[in-house]
Amino acid sequence: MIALYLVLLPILGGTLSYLFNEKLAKISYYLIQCLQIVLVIFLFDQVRNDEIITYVVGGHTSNIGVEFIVDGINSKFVILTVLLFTVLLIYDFKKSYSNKLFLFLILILEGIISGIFMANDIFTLFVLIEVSTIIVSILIMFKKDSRSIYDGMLYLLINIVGMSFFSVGIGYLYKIFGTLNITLLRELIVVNSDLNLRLPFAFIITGVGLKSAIMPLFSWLPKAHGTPSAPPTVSALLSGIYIKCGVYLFLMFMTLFSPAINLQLFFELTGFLTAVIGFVFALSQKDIKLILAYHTVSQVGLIVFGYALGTEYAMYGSFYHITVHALFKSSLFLSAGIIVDKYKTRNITEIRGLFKSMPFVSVMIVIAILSITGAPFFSGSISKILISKDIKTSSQSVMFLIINIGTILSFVKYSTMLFGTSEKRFKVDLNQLVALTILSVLCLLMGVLGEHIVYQFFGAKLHLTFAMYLDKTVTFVLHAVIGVLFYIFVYERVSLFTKIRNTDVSFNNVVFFITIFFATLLMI
Amino acid sequence: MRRTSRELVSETLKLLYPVIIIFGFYLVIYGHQGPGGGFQGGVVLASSYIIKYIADGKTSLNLKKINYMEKVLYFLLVLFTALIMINSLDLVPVDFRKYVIVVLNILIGFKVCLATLVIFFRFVIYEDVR
Amino acid sequence: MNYIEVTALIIFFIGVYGLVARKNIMKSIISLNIMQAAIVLFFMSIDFTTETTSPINATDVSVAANPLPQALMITVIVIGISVTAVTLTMFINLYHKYGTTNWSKVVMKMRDEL
Repeated sequence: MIALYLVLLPILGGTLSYLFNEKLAKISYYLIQCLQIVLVIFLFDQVRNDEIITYVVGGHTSNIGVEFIVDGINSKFVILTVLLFTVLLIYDFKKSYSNKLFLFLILILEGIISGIFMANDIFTLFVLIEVSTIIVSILIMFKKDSRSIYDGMLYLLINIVGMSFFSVGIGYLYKIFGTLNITLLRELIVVNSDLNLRLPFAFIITGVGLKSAIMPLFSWLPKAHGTPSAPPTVSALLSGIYIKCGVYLFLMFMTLFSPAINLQLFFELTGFLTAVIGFVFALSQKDIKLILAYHTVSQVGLIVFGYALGTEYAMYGSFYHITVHALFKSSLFLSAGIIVDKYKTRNITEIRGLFKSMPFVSVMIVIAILSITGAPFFSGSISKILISKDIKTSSQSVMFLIINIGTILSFVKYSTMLFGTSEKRFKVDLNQLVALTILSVLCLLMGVLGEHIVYQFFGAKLHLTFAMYLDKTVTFVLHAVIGVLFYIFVYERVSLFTKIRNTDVSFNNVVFFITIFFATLLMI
Repeated sequence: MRRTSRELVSETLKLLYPVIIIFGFYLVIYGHQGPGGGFQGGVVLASSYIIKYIADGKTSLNLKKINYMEKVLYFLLVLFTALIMINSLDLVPVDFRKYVIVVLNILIGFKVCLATLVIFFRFVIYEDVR
Repeated sequence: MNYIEVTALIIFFIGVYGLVARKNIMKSIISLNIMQAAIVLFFMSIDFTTETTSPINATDVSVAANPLPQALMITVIVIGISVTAVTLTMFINLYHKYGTTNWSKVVMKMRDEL
């Protein structure tokens, strides 16, 4: 029952509060957010002892009703959603664009994202994803700049095309099995694993793969996440939690079809290629937000690669990385928003000397960068240790090594902003600093207390001895030195990066890539 | 005095508006027993105002009030669904259970009519201002 | 009823072809509508025979049609209409800003602005 209230309360409360006048509406929205936090604490309390709660709306049977399920993994993501939205609302307290329409849309988005994580039947999922696509495309265009309408329109059209493919797949599943409930489908596919499920598999994985921005289907992401006119809150939201919905669904559908169709090597290669292309493109951009957006693509590739490895610890590692990436990517986007606000430019070559002009913010940025590159004691390293724990073949370790070095390379360039001189001293608002501090402290905690948290979340034991820490530190420093050397000597001479910066994929080409991906899935 | 062709069209269409509105109400109320339903009937109800605009070239609708009423109707609709349909019709006495869907259709019909009017007239006013 | 399913798939891929091969923005929006019409047709072809009656207030349950695809499809149609409305609003804005309805000309004008 609480699952339904978590979805329904923001929508009902948001609509009611929109009818009031401006001041009362703002107070009402913040009250509703506090109520949500209380509800989530109740929810976590109920699921804490490894129970699974299912709830069918209206009391029907589960094969025709709308069903919500809350188990160990879902509840963590729902808590992450509410936490991230609270932090973003704290950040946005005094901004000029946060009028009641903006807060209305953000609250509805919160309810829908919680619903997507908790949904147990595919049609609820489809409806919630479509509505959230429309809301996100309106939020992207919120400031109505010149570039934003093109970006928003491209985002909306490409995502709706992906969802159309997804719904044809749903039609096939309903025709073959007669039900759309995920628990029932799992049992039915295991029982009938010799049916030819190739066609629904291709349609559904194309649709969900486009939502989670894997290899040929990611070109909408930099335009949507790095667009000039989106407020930094919206970019943090998209890269932090909304893309995680897509990745979570992608992994879930991969597991759903895996008794019948097992394409593990294909998904490993897809994850690896996504990660490599992500950081190569990130290295060639000059705009802060575009660097961060391409880097999101790279991390999504790492998550898919980790999950496709197949071992138990790798699965825990990718879920841990989903949580941790949400925290530090939002922190990076929010601090990038502060930088753009004060320096009035988005070009990375024009911003220097952050340590002197905004010391507190630059400490937060350093914490986030160390987390994302996997420095020991910070949170990124725990997930990377988990993923690489049981790697079997040497080609997989080589791929993992390349992804690691690439991540460090792209962030060496980002951190050149911190050094240098600057004469100005900027004063940052208190609420923004509070928001950033919450996120950075959580990043640190999830790294230092990593063993305990892994045991709490997944029940798996992870022993980190002192020798392992030493080994990881030495490896990290070695990678960092390689990265700095590469940046100083090789980077300026290679003209590939400038060429990549100026390419642009048009809408027709994007749909063509979608069709090619679909045809590839049919033929493998 | 010569009447222009625009006035001819406008006067002729005045015969049609009652028919369209009654047809829209029929689709909304009998939507569960034949083709139709809340959404379809709502669009037909809105189309009568749209035809009046296309024939006349001017409109006297107050978009702010229509927007506000549409949000109120949306809130009532979700409240109705949340209270009654989700608790598996416990609050409704047994004799009235078959009218639940009629009430739902009527609410949806009005809301869709107002929403379509808002969408269409926002396009139109945008074009007129330019 | 296999031929309805094949027809729906053919219409769907005609819509996809329209998205790939035509550079006019209005044609992209119309192709999206064609794809959604094909999806509705595909769902309606599940368990289709010509002797079924309306499922609400039905007297004889065995000849009533399956109400689940009907309910799902009303949702899909409504979502399609709202997507078309939002896309058309964005298209009108784009047209007034750049004066062209061609995807590649819009990209060129945006690049000239920078």
